[in-house]
Amino acid sequence: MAETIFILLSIAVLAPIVGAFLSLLLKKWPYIRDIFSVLPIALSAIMSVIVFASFDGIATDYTFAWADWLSGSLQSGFHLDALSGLMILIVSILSMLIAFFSLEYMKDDENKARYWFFMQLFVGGMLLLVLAADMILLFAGWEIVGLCSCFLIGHYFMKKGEEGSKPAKSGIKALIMTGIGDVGFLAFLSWAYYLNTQAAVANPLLITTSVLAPYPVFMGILLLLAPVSKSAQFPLQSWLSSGDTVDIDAMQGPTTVSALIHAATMVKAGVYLVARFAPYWGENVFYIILMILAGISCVGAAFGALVTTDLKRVLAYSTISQLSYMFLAFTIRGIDDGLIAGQLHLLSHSIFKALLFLSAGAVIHSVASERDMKKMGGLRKELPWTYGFMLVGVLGLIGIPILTNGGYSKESIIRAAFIGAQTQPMYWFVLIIAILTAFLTALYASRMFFMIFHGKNRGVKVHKPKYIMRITIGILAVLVFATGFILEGPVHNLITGHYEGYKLILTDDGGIVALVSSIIVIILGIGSAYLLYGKGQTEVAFVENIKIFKSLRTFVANGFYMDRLYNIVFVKPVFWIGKQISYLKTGKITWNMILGSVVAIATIVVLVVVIV
Amino acid sequence: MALDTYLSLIMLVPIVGAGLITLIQQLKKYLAKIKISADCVNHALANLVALGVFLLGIISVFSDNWRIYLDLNSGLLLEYGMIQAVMVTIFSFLVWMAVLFSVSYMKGKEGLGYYYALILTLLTGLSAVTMANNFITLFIGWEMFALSAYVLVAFERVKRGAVEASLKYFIMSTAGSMLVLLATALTYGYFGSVDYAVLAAAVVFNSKVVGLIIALFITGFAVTAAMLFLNAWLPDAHSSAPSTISALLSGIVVKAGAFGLYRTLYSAYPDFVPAGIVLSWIGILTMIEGNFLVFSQFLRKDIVDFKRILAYSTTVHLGYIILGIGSNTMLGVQASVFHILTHSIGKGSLFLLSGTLIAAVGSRDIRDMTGIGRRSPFIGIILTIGLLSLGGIPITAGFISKLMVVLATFNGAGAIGNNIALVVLAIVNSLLALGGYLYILKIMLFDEPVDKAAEKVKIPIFQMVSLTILAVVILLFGFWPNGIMQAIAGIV
Repeated sequence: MAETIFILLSIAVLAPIVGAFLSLLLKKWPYIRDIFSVLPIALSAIMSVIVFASFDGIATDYTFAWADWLSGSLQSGFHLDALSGLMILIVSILSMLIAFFSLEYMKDDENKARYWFFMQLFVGGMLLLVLAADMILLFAGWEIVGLCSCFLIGHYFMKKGEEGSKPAKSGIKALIMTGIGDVGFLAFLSWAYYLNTQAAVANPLLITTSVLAPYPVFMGILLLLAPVSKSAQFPLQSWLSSGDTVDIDAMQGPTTVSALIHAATMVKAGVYLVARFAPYWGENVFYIILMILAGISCVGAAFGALVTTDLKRVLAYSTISQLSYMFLAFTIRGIDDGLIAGQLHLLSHSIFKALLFLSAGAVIHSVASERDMKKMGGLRKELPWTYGFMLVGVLGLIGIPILTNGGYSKESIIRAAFIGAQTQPMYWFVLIIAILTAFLTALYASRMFFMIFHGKNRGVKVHKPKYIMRITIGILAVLVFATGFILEGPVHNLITGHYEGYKLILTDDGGIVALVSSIIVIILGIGSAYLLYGKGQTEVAFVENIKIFKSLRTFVANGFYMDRLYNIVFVKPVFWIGKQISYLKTGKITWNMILGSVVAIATIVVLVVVIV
Repeated sequence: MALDTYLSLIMLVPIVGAGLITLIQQLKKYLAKIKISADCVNHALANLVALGVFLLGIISVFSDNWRIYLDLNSGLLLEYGMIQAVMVTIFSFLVWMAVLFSVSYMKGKEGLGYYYALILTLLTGLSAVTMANNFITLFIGWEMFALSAYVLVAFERVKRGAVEASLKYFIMSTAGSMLVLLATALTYGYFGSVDYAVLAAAVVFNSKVVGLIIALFITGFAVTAAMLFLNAWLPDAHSSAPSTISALLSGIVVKAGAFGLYRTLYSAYPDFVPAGIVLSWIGILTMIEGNFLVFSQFLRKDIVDFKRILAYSTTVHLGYIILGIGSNTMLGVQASVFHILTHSIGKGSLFLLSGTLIAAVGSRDIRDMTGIGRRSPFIGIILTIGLLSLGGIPITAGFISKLMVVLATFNGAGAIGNNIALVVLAIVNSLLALGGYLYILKIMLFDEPVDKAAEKVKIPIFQMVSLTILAVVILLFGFWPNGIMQAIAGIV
């Protein structure tokens, strides 16, 4: 049995990676190549479903030698438990649907070979990331998805002029900024290796069995860099969403890529990482830092979504905000753990955000790649199907109780925060942020929806999407409703391991508070959005007229000036120092010999002094 | 005795091949009369010899009966263990690739036979350096490869700067060699032997002379290993030499310096932790210097030399290799050897590619190569794989070796605070280096070509084969590092 599961998991991971290289060989038959490229991902999805169905709730390691330089003591492998089981299910099924969607969406693209190569490689890397039992494979998957993200964001670099240079810059920016997280991860990894070898642990890099808890606080902070960068939290959020005036961010990629990588899967890697290492953080400091960062990005990104007029950027900001929501949930520790609530939100967010992005893709596809919502409006007549499906997505994002999966998971976070706050006052912060963000979410989601579909068409030409897009979006829309009911029951039970009852509404104090507060903020949010934007307005009068609001809006629209800050603090100094050092390199042999002698004499002096 | 013969072939095959090739070159006119092209024969012969040495090496890596002493002239002069086997394999593999590449690249150049003969002498010298079991044999091998390298750098002697670069290399490298010779002499005077094993048994770190000897060895080898400010010869030599020679310089010649440092710190004067710490810090400073100089190159107005950028990047990677050696642990040596392997194939492929590019656009300036990866997808793919491997991204070989170096540094013999500082600096430097590589990638792949009407680049078949093999090997080690890991873990 164990061997069968190992083989199934290997197929799930390897099929897309091998398929990526094989699809390159089918250069001459583009149509076959496109169909062929979806198959490995579908195979992964089937394998994931089988593995998940046969999963018996017991966490197991399946190890093998991959980079074992200490003969047998450095095993790599797959780790299957409820978290990774759920993750492979989400990743592979959403990837399959989105790949299917791209058959239609990317139909006229000229560089589909590159697109399909990185798409498949990405799925393999992501599955590797969530399945890895040891830190080396985890890190490998981590970097593979980052690399694929870079190339997929930059997919349109062949276009002429600015349309081509912006995606290229965006891709590189994404890789460099997430590289900051890799620095933290690598430092953490080597530190953990050191501590575990000192303690003579048999497999020093296995995550689940060999980690000595708790680690020093500083290590936790190093590791925190990784999720903060990958999940685009403050202050490293600008690679995912950078503000309208900067416009160099992950949204430059094709919308399918944004849906898969920057909403449903890769940005979840950071959340996954915190959840995976959650049992080992003994220190409160770690959680307080995480809470502050997540709190800032949660509210800040919601404001970003409220200000921007770019359809995809609304969703990108919304993704950041929702990811911080999960991090906030993870910081709640105690009797009723926020960890489970956060994981439930991860699941539901993946589905409704993928739906929203794909619907946005369908809209953008229908209006000839126009992303500015100011130019849309009144599309509900031309795109009735998309209208309906996107409504479902918006309802999920807003979190309508009982009906949608977003409602269940969001309420469980608010509930956990409320219960936690009874014993630990600092969780009031989480509760306030959570409710405030719920309000802002309802506001910006409805604003986006009204601006696209209501009012009058402000000048875009519309052609209707084909059936492939419609089918995919339809499946996701059904999933938004269908998974809602099972979240509180089976999924919750699977994660906790306790088989409790099945409740639609939790009737304890926390449950009531969550339900009531979310209904109130949803009504407030949708209501004010309708008042402000319901008739097809694009601007709000009081923001235009009052100076402080206007300057605040400029601040947010510039992406909080983060890019300018990084440019001044990091990029320019690097080049400046380089220039200064290059003055030492004159090319004259005399000067070179003198400098060399200085180094030589210094070395000699140091070693002779040490010996004494 | 049978095995002795087998191993002596590693030294004999290339040197005899070099002689034969020179002979054929000398007889060029006579051969032409009987309708035999000397160049053609030389191409084939050089490839055969390089492939032969590579096969000898790779067989000895994966066969069991490898550790043996070669008895030459009634003195024990050479030894052959796992580390020698791996190093000889790396060296001969890159030489083979360069020679294969040369079939197209050097086609019709004057003095082709001498070129091949010098490359094979270089290989012999490098093998001697790795296989030596005392400092005198090492020095002989050292001078052998160094002399070949000086001449090879100036091979295109009509080109501006080539002779100057060669002379600079000659002066600096000879100064380094002299320091090594001085240290060898001091060693003999103080301990009465230059044999590593004898020294390791006799050495006690209580005299200033010992400190002086170690420091002289370190600085002497560090010139070839292109450490901090001792590397002024390196960018000039790399950018002026023919691209195949740049690949060999960066891929294997500078690694001999690292091997010399290994011999000093592990074989002759083992377990002297301060030397390792000093070496590690020199490595870190070298990395910083190299990284910032890479960025400074992009700002240059006169020429943004692709090969010069790669040369500075070589110093960064030598920093990693030195860091591994400086950790004073066997894990560090294994990590360094693995990094030597991955860097030599990664940087080798990029330098060879630079040969193709320079031939295509007629300039070394990276700005003339803007968007060249778009004009020919093959170039784009090789460039991306090479740069990502150097940047240490998974599914390429560079990932695991960088990881190993970092882990080894953390587990180094020094104090833990020192190790943490080294590791953090090394990782931050790796991010900086990645930034530099992505900058290259942006210009050469993502940016729009300046010359809109430019045609697709034509790549000669042998160049293509050689580059493809290198890229496949990079991906192979990226996917299944355990294939070579077991051999490298055998280094004790």
